Amino acid sequence: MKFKFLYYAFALVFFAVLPLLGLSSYSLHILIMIGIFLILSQSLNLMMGYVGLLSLGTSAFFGVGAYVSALLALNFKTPFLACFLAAGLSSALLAACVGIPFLRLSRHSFVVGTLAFLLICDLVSRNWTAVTRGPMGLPGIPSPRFNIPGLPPITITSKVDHYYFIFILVCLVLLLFIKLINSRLGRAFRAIRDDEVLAKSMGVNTFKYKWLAFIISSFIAAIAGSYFAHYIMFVDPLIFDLYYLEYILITVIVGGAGTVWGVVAGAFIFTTLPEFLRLAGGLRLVIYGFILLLSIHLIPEGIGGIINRGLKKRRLVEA
Amino acid sequence: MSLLEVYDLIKKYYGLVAVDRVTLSIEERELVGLIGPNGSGKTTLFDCITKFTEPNSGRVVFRGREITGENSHTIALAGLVRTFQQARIFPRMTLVENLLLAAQQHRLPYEWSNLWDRSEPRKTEAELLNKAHRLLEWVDLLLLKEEQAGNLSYGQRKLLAMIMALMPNPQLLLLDEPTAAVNPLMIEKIKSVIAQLNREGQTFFIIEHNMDVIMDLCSRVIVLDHGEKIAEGTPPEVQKNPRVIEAYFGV
Repeated sequence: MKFKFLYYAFALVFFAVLPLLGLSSYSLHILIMIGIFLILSQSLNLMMGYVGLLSLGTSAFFGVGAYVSALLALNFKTPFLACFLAAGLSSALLAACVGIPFLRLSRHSFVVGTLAFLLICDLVSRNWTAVTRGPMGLPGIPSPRFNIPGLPPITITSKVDHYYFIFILVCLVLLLFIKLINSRLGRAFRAIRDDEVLAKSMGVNTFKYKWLAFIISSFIAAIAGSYFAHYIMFVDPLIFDLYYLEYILITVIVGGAGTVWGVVAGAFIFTTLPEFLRLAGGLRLVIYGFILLLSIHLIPEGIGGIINRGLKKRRLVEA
Repeated sequence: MSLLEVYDLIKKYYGLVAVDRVTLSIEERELVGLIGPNGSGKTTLFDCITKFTEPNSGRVVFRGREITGENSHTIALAGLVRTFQQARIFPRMTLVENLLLAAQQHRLPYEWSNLWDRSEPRKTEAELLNKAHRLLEWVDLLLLKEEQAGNLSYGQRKLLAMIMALMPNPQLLLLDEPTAAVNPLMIEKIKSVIAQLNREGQTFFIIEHNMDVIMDLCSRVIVLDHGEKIAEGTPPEVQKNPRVIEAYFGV
């Protein structure tokens, strides 16, 4: 038990000093992308791994968050923190509205419904040119800037600044996420995942809890999107591309849906793997596909499943 | 006023009448058995009472309150809790988590406050944890409390499902075949658990095929055949009833 605390402390110190070791800006960029997609993957993980509903709308809320944040910053010169929160809240509100019809569908239809929602978001961003400028996208999104009264304004521009920002954000999200899934709320989510009928017979208002999870998940996805927009400084309809959806699905499935640290590991692996595979040139996607196939075949319960099994074995040895 | 009153309940699946104008009532502290040949509509009757299927017509009144139009979860919260024939449990949660979940909705909703201020929820949670440990010890599952429920044997699952239903202190417990597919030793265990709880004042309504269990436990038996209530009375009375003999043996 006390070793667990040591692991956390070690990981924290390791990632806190990492940029001081003289990493290239390319490596820092990869680390920042890991952070963003780690948060986004946990959003999908909440729905898929803890409530047992495959929500393909996760990357739609990611894009909505990015667009809301970008539009507020560009059109109204809104400070970053307000954009960030507005992105999360507006996305949560949107999820609250579309969640009501979607969550009345069966589990399978829910998947199709959320996919349709993603495609609609894509179409709106392409065709509502008066607001989104269509396929031309929104360039020139300002870097995050914090105005704390009594202090000089802090602008996050360099890669190291961005790294520390996303590092703190990831820590906060993971902390809250772990708190959430171990609370009574999280217990109700997991009960619905395991057996929805039984959960109902125990007095759980399953619709309400699925709805809450959908809202929370969309909030997490949207804040990741908001930060992504301010980091890349550009957003266009490609943010709704199925590429991002596949990416987080792979991260969650191979990482291990329903485990926090498995998905964290998944985010590290599946963000860095394509970068390493660049060395293979044209064979890149073939090798990527092969590794994916192999991992699904060899570890169907994901990396998280292996971690849990290892921990259990050690517990048994100790006992 | 009876604890549970059911009036003229009808459930049809197209041409088939699964529950045919059943009227019954259950008094407080009673232990009532529900028997009948396979396919006679016993589980469907339970499903209709607890709203896991929608009855075509009829009324259900629980503690003087009409629950015909309510949802399964509000019925459970009102104190009418059921178990399932297939021993349903939450396989990817530990035994303790299974039990805590079974009771948590029946307490005040602390969901949000419990993220930060944990003093109040911690108190109720500790109470519930105590109760969970007591129940686990009672059915000899305490050693497995941190085990995933999916790793239990079928008989153990049955016991877990039953003590889960006991967690919220229900006013009325509907048990759907608590001893089906359970080994004889375990049957004795389940029987003694039910008998003891009934002595302490717990009301039961039990579907059962095992006649020994019915004869030993129940004060009153209701017999269904083709969805219709064909007999009601003490176990010896029902045993001698010609309609019951006909339903079971076809003579």
